[in-house]
Amino acid sequence: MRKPQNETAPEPNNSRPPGVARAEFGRIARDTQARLLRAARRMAMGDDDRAADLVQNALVRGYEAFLQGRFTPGSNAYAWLLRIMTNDYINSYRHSKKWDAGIDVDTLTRGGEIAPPSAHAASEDRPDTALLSGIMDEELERALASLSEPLRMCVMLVDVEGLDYAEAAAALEIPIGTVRSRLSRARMMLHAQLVDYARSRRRL
Amino acid sequence: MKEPQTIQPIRPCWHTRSLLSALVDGELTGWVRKYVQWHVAHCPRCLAALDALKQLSQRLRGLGEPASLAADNKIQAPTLSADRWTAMEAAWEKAERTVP
Repeated sequence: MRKPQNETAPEPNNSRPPGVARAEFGRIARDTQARLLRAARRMAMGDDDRAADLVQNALVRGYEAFLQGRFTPGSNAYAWLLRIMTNDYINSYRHSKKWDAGIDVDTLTRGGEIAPPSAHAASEDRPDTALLSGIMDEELERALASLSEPLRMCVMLVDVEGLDYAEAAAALEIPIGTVRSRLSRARMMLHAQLVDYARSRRRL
Repeated sequence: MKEPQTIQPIRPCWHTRSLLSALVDGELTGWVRKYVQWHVAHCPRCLAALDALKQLSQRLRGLGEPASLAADNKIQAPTLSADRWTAMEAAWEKAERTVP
């Protein structure tokens, strides 16, 4: 996790009276709710009610787990709750749409192409790429939303939320190698989408 | 007049295509990491792709930063409504009675 926060309980939490446990978890919930809501909103593609449902469910399930001592004191509470929320989201997504954790990455993409084998490029082939600063956050969000669900979730958890590959794999219940390949494909596709946006803006 | 610069497509070599992204995240180890680093040092296209992927990753990370949402405190950070907190407190109370 790239963003350690002071959102953790300081001592074991499975031996406390409920009032104390609730006070501690309440603090965690208040500290993390804004970040959870933003992540949930992105998962729910901007649907605020759905996002609030996801966070509320995660905090209820999180408290149940907290009472059972399944939160490790000193670990990152946000990452832990994000994993709970992601599991919940994926389960609900599985019920409503197709989600296949083991599907080959190539079948998940929309468009995109595999570069053919080639010799090393000449220096004049190297494109000038230090130009992402011209891309707006809205375009980035739009490109992210255009990805298929499994690819989008990988980018969200690793790039946006800062989980490492192992944490993302645990949250998504897929192997680390699948996280790696999905991220690679997703980033290539995102970049291609941003190139399209930049080109269409220049044509205006 | 010089054409304004713009973002260009990235075209890494086929054999590093799936590895560059993991290199950006520091998730490659051992000889694979050494090989990709060596290749990137000798291949302008893959070096450009690596630069682009790093920038993309940084921009995406920016979307998750608290500052991107509540810039200059002009926008209040999102919170659950009072009704939802009440419902959640009730669920927590129930959990205290039922969770072993």
